[in-house]
Amino acid sequence: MTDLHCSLGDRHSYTDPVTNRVMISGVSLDRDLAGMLMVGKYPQRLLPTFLHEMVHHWCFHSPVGSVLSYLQLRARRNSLLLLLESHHDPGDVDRSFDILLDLLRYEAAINLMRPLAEGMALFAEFDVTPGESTAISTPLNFTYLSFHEIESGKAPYEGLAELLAQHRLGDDLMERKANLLVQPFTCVGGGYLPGYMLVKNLWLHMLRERHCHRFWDRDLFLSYLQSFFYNDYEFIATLLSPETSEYGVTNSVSLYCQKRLKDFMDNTTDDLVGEFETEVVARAANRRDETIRDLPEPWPGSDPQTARLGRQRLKDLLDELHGEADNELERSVRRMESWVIAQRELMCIGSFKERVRVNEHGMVHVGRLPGQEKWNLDFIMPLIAVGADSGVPAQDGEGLIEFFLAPTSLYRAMAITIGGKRVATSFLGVDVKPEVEEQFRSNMLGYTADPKVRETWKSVVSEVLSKHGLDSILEHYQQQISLIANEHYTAKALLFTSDEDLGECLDVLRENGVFEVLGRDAALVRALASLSMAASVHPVYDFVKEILANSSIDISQLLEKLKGASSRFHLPFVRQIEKVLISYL
Amino acid sequence: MTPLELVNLSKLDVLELGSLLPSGAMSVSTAQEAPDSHGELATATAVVIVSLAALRVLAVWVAKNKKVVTIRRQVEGRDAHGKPQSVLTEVNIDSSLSDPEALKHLAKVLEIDTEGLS
Repeated sequence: MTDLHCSLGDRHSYTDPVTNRVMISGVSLDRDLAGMLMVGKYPQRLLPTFLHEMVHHWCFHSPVGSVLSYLQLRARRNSLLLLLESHHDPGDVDRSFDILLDLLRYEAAINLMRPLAEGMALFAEFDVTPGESTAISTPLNFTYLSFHEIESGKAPYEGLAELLAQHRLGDDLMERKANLLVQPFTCVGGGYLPGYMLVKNLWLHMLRERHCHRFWDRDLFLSYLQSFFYNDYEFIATLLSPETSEYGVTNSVSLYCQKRLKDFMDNTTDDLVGEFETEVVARAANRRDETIRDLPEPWPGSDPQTARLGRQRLKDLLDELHGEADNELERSVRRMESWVIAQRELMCIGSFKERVRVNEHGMVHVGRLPGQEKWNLDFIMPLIAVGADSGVPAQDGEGLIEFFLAPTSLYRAMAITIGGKRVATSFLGVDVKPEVEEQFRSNMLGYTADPKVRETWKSVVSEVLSKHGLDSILEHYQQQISLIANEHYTAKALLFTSDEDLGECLDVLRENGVFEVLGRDAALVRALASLSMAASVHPVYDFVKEILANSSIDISQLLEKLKGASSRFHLPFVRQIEKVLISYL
Repeated sequence: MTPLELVNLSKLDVLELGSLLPSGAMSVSTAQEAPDSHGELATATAVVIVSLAALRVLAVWVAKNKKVVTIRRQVEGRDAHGKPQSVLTEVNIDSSLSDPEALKHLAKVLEIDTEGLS
């Protein structure tokens, strides 16, 4: 199974946890250029995908995400060095086991957290709306800036809830939700459905059982969840513990993940959420000056000693990555790693292959250039014309035009390359400090968008493992991790199904989600999706009734059918409390 | 007649079509998990063997769900590499049409002569 985190039903949009590279597909330069260049004009049809991938990017741009990236980068570097060394000594065996240990740490953490990551991204797509809190999550902030035209004199984030509601009540998102509901209830292949149900049920659990009323703000809930699991230095302390061997790492990571989830469910209080909210608001005020070296403070509820240890281990790992190289090869690999790490903040929101020409006057022209008349284009005029970066010679060739967001440093930029070499960079719409500009340009020097690089690294690592006979150990633990993930999530995702009914419920959901539960009736699945989307926008009976009636769905009949399926398979779908409708899915 | 390929289907589409089409009329292939290039949005491709019954199901399904379905079909001739040529057609059918009218519309768009079908 790949570790790329994809949008459900959209296999070409993805986030790579190592580089944090995001690919959003379905954009075309001709059609969407304005959307890339202007604030608030990003193509509306891509809002669900944008939000989904933005959540992944946000999660991986965190202490836990950084550790996972560093472990994978270190394993790749050490594999390459071991593979290319001309002489071999007995120490090579230890080095190959170190590589295996880094890979197992990465595999265990990434796979055990994958359904949670997908669940959070889907919860953002279908449920998250801004509420009473003044804190706003990075994904909602950038969704607002990318899809909503800002008008002067308006209150911050005015119109954001309406924007999200408009999408959620539309056919595209309803169909996306219906498709989610028939996914397999297993963690193999991403764990979309159990992950989503886990996150949604955790939210309901926090409101019902823990009385965390601040979580009526679903965006605050998402922020809390992200911080609780991805800014978790105690997890880092476990993950990087020098006492852990390759044989014990799966077990220790899995036990930790179970403990952490239990902590979340048992120990979260409304006061703790209040503390968190205050800290988020304070941090947002000076985020422009943050870099990855400025690690977020430990979690308010953390054990201070273990959190300090985790923080120290992360710093040590960072220092090791920036350490001295023994030879030129190692030096260039380390340089590449530095670029990867520096670029992890950037989110690519559009990537296009086009003809690029740098003329003798230092201008860069993209697309629809003279000389392309044979393609019968409607007109000949560059789609983009910008100044070349200094020192770039006149040239012409197949280029790549990419648009980036920097969610932490809060800027947007465009980079144009020919044959992998940067020819132009341009900052869009905001004043950017010269040192940030310089940092971006320097990052683009070593930037590579070629997905084949990833595959090449994979084959280097697997060659080393296979040479030392360790590939079967990795494979064995990968299978074990997959089984543990299933066990870990599926029961927790059915939080409101009693223990004695769990087995039956799991069996019926396993292959096709609720499709079997709802009598293989696709129209009923779509009706359930419509109900849940309407309830997520405004959970009032009369509102939901009206929305369903627009699609010729009778709410009384639907609720009756859902009640029947629910009692037969012990899976709650919807609960009506007087005039309020709570959707469990 | 060569089969029709319905591209970019979701899993729900596949499950629904599978339960509506005659047994054995459809096979499914899913898109690769790890993407290598900029490409179309894709989930699954359903290959449907053409028959009158299958076309009826497809026409009613497209109309009822108000979908735009992309269908790939082979046409006469070969391309520069000697491979059979195929075309992509985007199909949507007005949901107010009766079932026979929907079938007629689909057959026309796909240039299929239903007279010769069983």
